[in-house]
Amino acid sequence: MNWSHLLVQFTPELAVLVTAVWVILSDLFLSRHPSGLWRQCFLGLAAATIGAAFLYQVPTPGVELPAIITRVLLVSPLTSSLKFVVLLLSTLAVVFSYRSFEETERHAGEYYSLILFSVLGGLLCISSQDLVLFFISFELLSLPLYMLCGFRRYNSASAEAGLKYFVNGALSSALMLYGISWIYGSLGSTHLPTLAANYAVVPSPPSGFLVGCLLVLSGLGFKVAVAPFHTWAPDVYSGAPPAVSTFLASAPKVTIVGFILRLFWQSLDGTGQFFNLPVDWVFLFTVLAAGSMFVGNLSALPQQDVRKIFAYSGIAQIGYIFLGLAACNNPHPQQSFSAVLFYTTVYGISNLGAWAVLAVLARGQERFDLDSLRGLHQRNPALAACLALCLMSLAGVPPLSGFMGKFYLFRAIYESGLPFLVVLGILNSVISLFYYFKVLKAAYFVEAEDGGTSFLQAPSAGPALPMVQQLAFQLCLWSNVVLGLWPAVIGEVERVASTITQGS
Amino acid sequence: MIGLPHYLILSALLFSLGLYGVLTRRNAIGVLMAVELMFNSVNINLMAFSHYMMDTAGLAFCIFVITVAAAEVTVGVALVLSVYRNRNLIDLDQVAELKG
Repeated sequence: MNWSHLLVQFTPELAVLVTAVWVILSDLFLSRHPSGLWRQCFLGLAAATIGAAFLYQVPTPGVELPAIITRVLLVSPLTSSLKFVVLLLSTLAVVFSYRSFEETERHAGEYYSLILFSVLGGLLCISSQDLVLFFISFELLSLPLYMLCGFRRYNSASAEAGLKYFVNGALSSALMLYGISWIYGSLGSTHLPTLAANYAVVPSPPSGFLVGCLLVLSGLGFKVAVAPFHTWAPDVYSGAPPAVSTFLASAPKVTIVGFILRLFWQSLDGTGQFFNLPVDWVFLFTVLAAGSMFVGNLSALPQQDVRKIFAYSGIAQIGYIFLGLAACNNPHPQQSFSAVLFYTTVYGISNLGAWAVLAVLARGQERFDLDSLRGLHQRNPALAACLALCLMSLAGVPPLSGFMGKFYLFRAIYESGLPFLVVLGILNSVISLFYYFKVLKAAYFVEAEDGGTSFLQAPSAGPALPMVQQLAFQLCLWSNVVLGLWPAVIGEVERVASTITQGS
Repeated sequence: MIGLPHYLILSALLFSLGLYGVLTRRNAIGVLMAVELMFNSVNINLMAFSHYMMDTAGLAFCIFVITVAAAEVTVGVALVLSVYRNRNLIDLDQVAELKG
């Protein structure tokens, strides 16, 4: 028994848990000052991020964790790298939510501890090795998000967003849970490696297992807002406080995509029989992907509200990721894995950067139609630059990381023998250019209504950004340039992807 | 003689009723009750499987499901309450300020 190794291996989770409890207690007994609570939350998450990066760099081979832990929690290069990405995105989201809750200041402690508990749920979800733990951590990820969406209690749009997200989320949990009960019933276990082992010895796949897999996939699809399960997304993203949408649009998506990879490819494919299920998985994932790309891109075109444009763009982006997942359904999926992982990371950071601009603007304005962005490059050049680079990266404009991500993704799909899907993807990228550039046009090429002179007094100009937020914007901005062009990043992603199918 | 299929059919019926309720109910509290029905059909499933496979993992899972369902409903009722305070109504059809 090496309990000290346990502490080391799970530093990020423990740091987040301790910070979450500390923030609640500190809010109750020590100080209710919002910026103090924000600082505690930020320091805890930053420490967890650094810990996760360290654990990824130094994998400590030969460490034996107690069996009771390894039975339910997995530590592998995939989980460490995903944890690092999720923690980085959450830290940035917390940085951007600084001073976002001036009118509900009394609840800053609750806000930060809810975010921290949600992050904790995401971290456990990524490394869960047992469907019971997965379900509990999935709920720990979701329940705080419902509350965060309805966080502005006296704003009816926010309350409605919370209720809508809750109804859809509860439905998805119930579907998934029913699926898990069938998986348990048909193969006799909830432990993923045991499931894979049991599956290897049955002569033909039990139909209950198939039903279970499909229901679990639909539950996860609800969470990432993939096409037939996307209806909640536009309402929730536009009703929730933008600081919450910033978090909602990045970290949970990366978590769930990571878990889909782990569940369907690392665990169930451990025996190489996953494809013997009587379902055409390529077709299934293609339908989900094509549906969400077309629905997302075409519905985004006529929108005037920037938050809705971003919500539909998020649906479309998940479509590209599912296109990559469709290409993972072959005996040699390493290249597709690395493309999906890289694209998910890039998507998380670019999307977070774009939402962060709205989160910061939300301090001075309530409306977010295209007109409200007029003359942003005069009022606040740094914000406009961040918005521009993030949107161009999402649209896939050449030197940026989004382009490199799409390039790797489409190359992997083409080399898996699915050229038709590449055509679909490129067609949709072209459609998406229209609405991304519509937002950019509003921010850059339309002057503010009353000329450029009054921007100093305009309420939406807001106070100067705190130092740490400026740094975070720089990070979002430069990561869009650097991630795609720095070969070491791709090398790391490929190394992680090559470990996915090796044992679970 | 009542066997495993009977329990599974019962739970499938309950699950379908719950799903129907979630999709058609207008009243938010009614939707919450329908979701409870779905969670409890899962419990019946788990307990039946656990009993007939002589495996206790299902029973343990069942306890977790009950706990999580309680937490879920708590959050749900709180959100319904906050919508009610703002609008004085809890019909999901009429709560449609945010038409996507």
